[in-house]
Amino acid sequence: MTSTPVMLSSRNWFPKASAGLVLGLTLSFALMGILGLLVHVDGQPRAVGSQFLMWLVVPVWTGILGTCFLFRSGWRAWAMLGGANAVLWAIYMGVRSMMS
Amino acid sequence: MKIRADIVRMYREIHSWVGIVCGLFLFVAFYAGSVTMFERPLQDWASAPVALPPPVSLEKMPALLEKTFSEHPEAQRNYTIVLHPTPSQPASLIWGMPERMHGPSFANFSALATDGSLVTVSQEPSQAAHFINMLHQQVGLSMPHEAGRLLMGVVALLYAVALISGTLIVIPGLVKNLFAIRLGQNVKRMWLDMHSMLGLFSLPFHIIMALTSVVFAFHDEIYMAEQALLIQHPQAQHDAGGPGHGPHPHGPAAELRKPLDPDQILKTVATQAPGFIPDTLAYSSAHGGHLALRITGRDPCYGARGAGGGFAGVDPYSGRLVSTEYMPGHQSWSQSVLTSFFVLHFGSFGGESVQWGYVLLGLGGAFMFYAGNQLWVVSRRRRERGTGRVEDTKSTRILCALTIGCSLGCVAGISAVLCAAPLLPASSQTVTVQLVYFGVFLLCNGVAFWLKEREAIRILLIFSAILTWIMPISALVVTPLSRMQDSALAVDAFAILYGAFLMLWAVRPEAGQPVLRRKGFPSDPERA
Repeated sequence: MTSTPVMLSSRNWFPKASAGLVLGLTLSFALMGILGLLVHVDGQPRAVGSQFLMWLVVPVWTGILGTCFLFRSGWRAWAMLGGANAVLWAIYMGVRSMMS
Repeated sequence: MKIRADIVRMYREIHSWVGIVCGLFLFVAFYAGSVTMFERPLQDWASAPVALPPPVSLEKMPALLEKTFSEHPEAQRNYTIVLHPTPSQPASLIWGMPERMHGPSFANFSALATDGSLVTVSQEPSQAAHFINMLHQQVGLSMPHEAGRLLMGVVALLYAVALISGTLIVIPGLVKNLFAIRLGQNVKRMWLDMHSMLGLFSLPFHIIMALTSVVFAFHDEIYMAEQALLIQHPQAQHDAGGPGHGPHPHGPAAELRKPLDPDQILKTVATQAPGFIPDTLAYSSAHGGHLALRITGRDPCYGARGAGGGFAGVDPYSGRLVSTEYMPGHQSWSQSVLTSFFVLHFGSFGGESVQWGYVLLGLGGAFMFYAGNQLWVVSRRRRERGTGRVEDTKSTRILCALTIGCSLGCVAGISAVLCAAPLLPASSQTVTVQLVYFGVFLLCNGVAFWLKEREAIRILLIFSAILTWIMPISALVVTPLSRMQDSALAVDAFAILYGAFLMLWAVRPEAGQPVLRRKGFPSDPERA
């Protein structure tokens, strides 16, 4: 993310943090959806599989929230995380349509 | 390890701002959480003796049940057999609790007098320990449960960010500074070293707490998202099977059959689950007249899902184990992994030594947040002095007062709740307990805003110490020494020691805190 030597600072924290908060959550949801479809979890909250998936969301989300400040700028954070979201959600839709 | 200087600087700024936003909430959460590790002993300690005959033994339980049901038929709907009665659960039969219990609630306690007649006492158990638990869960604010949960989630997310950033700051100087606590002249340096070392050495504990707290806050919402993403056929939703909901044996008219006697049930369960130590047998006939039994208990070899133990669903007519999803030692591999997440938050494994370890880690965490806030004030003050200001800016002053007032106000408030707890009337305690806590909390904040730091800290510490020392006295007023349980005496002893610690901290000026200006520093007289 930070291959070129751009000086990072905390001044543009808001666009980065909001990207991490919003897109980090949607990204972890997409990941949950893909994994759930692949291992055939049906989403019933009491089932063991769905409990594991629920626990998966939080480390991914907080991990992104904590590291999103390493993006060079707020725009870049929104663009990169948005791109990752688009890819993962496309995979989710693809897997879902294949399975139904 | 090398991390670029600008990244470290950026994360240092993020760490200090995130820390200042959530530090005070986290202080309360950690301090109240540490006290909550002893929710049960405190609950017993705070309960006044009840005018009841001694608890009925298990062999005489069928007679007690029969008498209770003939005099109070409504008791059959929902009753609990307590195998190890304590001062907070003084009878072996409790009935008439509300359907969904959140914390101790009004209930009827039944026992048999020496002539064999039924004696029933209705009362509300002490709410103090549960209140402290709620304080822990809602990061120190009083608000509706839903709002408190969401706010706690936001604080937990900030806490996670503070952990990540804090770790990244410490890593570059890790080897050099690992064990270095620079004692001596520079109090700020020493507190910073303690802050980083506490954070680093209890990092696994803090990671667990941050992640589990975020999950506890948002799991409903995440499950909703999960269902929306994964359920393909919505009509399949209603056959969600859970413990006790599974297909019942369609015996001839279940309600006409007689459930097994409790001691027989316990024998049958003991053969099926040898290591399991049952605590309570909770019967309920909520599910269409069919009697359901849930046995709570623990197994010293396994962690338990809840802070108070695990449970098993048992068929009350045969004693057969029906569901073992949450039964310690009888879970599937994947379920026990899930359970371990809860166990690691509650410290409900490994017995008393682990509990004390969690208390120390929790108090260490609370101290870390207190130190962090003080360091924020000090470095901000130094920056302001650098620009030529003689007095603190308004924001620095407010933050300094809040740090002292909220932290020590929480310490004093919890001690006040506990020393009032044994004396409170047996009904509508919740409001009184809240008034006591928030009254003391606001008073302490008032003191912190009104006085200079040095006096405020000293007065509040002395105040907390005195409140803590009153705890054993108020317990003695309601429970004579001869009737006190060992656990209650332990609480008393701990209160005396902890009060002494607070007092020592108050009177020793050299146990200085960085916000206290050094002697000879020009402090402005009109601040008071």
